[in-house]
Amino acid sequence: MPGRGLGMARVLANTGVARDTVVLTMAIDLPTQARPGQFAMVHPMRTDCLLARPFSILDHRDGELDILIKVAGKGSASMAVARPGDEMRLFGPLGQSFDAPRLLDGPSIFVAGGVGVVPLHWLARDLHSRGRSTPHCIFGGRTPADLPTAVLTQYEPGWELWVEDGATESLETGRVTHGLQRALEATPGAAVATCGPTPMMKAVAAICEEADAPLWVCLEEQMGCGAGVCRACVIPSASGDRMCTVCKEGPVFAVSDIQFGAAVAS
Amino acid sequence: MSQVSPDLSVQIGPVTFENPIFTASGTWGYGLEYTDIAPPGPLGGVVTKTLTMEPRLGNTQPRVREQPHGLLNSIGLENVGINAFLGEKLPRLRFLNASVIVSLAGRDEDEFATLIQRLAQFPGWAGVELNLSCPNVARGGLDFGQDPVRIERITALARAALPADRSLWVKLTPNVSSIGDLAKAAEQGGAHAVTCINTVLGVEVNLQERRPVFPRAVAGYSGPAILPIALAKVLETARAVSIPVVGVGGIGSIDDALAFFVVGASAVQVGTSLFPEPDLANRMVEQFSARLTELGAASPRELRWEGLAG
Ligand SMILES: Cc1cc2nc3c(=O)[nH]c(=O)nc-3n(C[C@H](O)[C@H](O)[C@H](O)COP(=O)(O)OP(=O)(O)OC[C@H]3O[C@@H](n4cnc5c(N)ncnc54)[C@H](O)[C@@H]3O)c2cc1C
Ligand SMILES: Cc1cc2nc3c(=O)[nH]c(=O)nc-3n(C[C@H](O)[C@H](O)[C@H](O)COP(=O)(O)O)c2cc1C
Ligand code: FES
Repeated sequence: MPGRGLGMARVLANTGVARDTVVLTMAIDLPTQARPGQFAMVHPMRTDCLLARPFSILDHRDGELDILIKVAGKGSASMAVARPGDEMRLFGPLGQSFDAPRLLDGPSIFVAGGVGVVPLHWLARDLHSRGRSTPHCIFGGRTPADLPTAVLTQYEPGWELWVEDGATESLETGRVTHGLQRALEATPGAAVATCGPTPMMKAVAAICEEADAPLWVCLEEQMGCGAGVCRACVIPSASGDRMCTVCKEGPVFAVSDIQFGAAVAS
Repeated sequence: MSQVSPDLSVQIGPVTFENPIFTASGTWGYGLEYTDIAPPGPLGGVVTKTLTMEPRLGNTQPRVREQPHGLLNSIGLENVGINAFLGEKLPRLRFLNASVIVSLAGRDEDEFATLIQRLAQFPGWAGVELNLSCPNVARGGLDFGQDPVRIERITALARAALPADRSLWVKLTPNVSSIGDLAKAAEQGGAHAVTCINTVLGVEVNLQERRPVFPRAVAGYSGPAILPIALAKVLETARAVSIPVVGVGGIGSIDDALAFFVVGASAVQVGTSLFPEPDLANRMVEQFSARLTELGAASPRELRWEGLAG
């Protein structure tokens, strides 16, 4: 809880980065530095949106914050057309970051799908630029138009890119899980982090279980408050004797700490 | 010309609260979760998440679904249990000078009194609110809350167990044909106040799968959409009883809160709107006097509609 802030954030820039996807750069005075994996609750400031929406933090500089928004409904649609000078209520940074030494020191493999790339991209850049480790990064999108290429190239070692449809020379066709299997064979003992659609993360969990690779997941759940108060976002602990809040105890969890049923890998 | 600042204090049973703005049960945790941005001390009081004898894990997902102007929830009374509250939460609330109303739910009629007896051994709370109206649990809750006879009995047992210097509130459901009858039963049983309203029953449908979205089908509807419903229920209740009515439902601004005083409320609780704006109740306390003065009222009591008695 220490170091979060609640206040109005002013849009400084809105940059299109993929189909229906923008990066908003916002001016906000936060009492602390955010870390990769943390998110902010941002209110779209329209009366038919009661709740604020959770968005992972893509980057954080002094007094400035970047979030990446993919249009998914009415709130994100409004936010994606925000103009410089527009204001939105922002509460953050919230939640736990990726902080397990095993993951940060490498060797590690990051598997992202869709907007799940946001926390992992920041983490990978941060680790690489500080010389701590260089994660093998794998990203999957539906088609080439869904890849936020301008963002992904900021990670110098590069992202291995997979699309389900319309692959070109530099892209592989298929699912990120194929990339993960290959990477695990090449780097036995690697730790894995994943963020993306739940079916994808469950498939990743199944592969990691099979390969005995430690896995950290960054979960998505409908949120009311973002602060552990409303108990909307809970998931059972591994032992089932308590509920863990995705917003406060997560969104990053060691998969061994929670009940995250692994799906059959495809 | 000197301006006398309005008198915001409100007396409910034996307890006088500094102002009439409270947070609603289940929407501000245990009053300790936002101390960095919204301390509980300046509020009229905090109503805790409803506590039960044993900790409860609550319902399976989904637990909340946003609607265009409201929220459906099916949390299922997840809470830490009375003992953890007394051991870990209440001492901290006391340290923060918070005025605390402890919301309680028993599994049967006697358990409400048992919970109060447990509570009575500890200092640091101003009163209890009996949750006789939760729609999201299999037993208790609405089962008790729709029957005036049981409401009166539970209230009387609770009153007998309650230390004389504490306040007894009974929270009512709007999901009945006459909330006035429920309120009279609570008054008869010895309640110092009735809280109106708990959530309104609501259903969201998944058309593709031809089924309700929530596993229990019905969930509790709250937020701005229910403000007019809550005002109507408070009006009806204020006409039915002479004990104070605590208004809750859909409050999102100071003027929403003041509307409740017009229809007969003596205090209000802010609920769902605290999720997007956790400091909302604190800001309302700050705005209260100035807004009353603008309206030419020396106290919230002066806002009461003259036609209410009719
Ligand atoms: C921890 C976390 C981090 C996220 N990070 C990003 C990000 O970096 N970029 C991004 O584009 N999106 C991100 N999302 C998803 C984003 O929150 C949803 O796309 C957004 O809430 C949709 O709101 P809407 O008004 O457009 O859609 P609507 O369908 O109108 O939303 C209705 C309600 O459902 C909720 N909701 C809808 N979809 C989701 C979802 N996938 N997850 C959680 N709640 C949802 C909304 O918050 C709202 O309360 C993240 C979600 C979580 C939980
Ligand atoms: C997520 C959620 C949890 C709630 N939990 C409780 C509870 O534990 N006990 C209770 O008496 N009321 C509970 N309520 C009901 C509120 O206290 C309040 O009566 C209702 O939501 C109407 O007010 P509002 O529209 O301002 O939210 C809950 C409401 C919500 C939205
Ligand atoms: S969103 Fe409210 S507890 Fe997590």
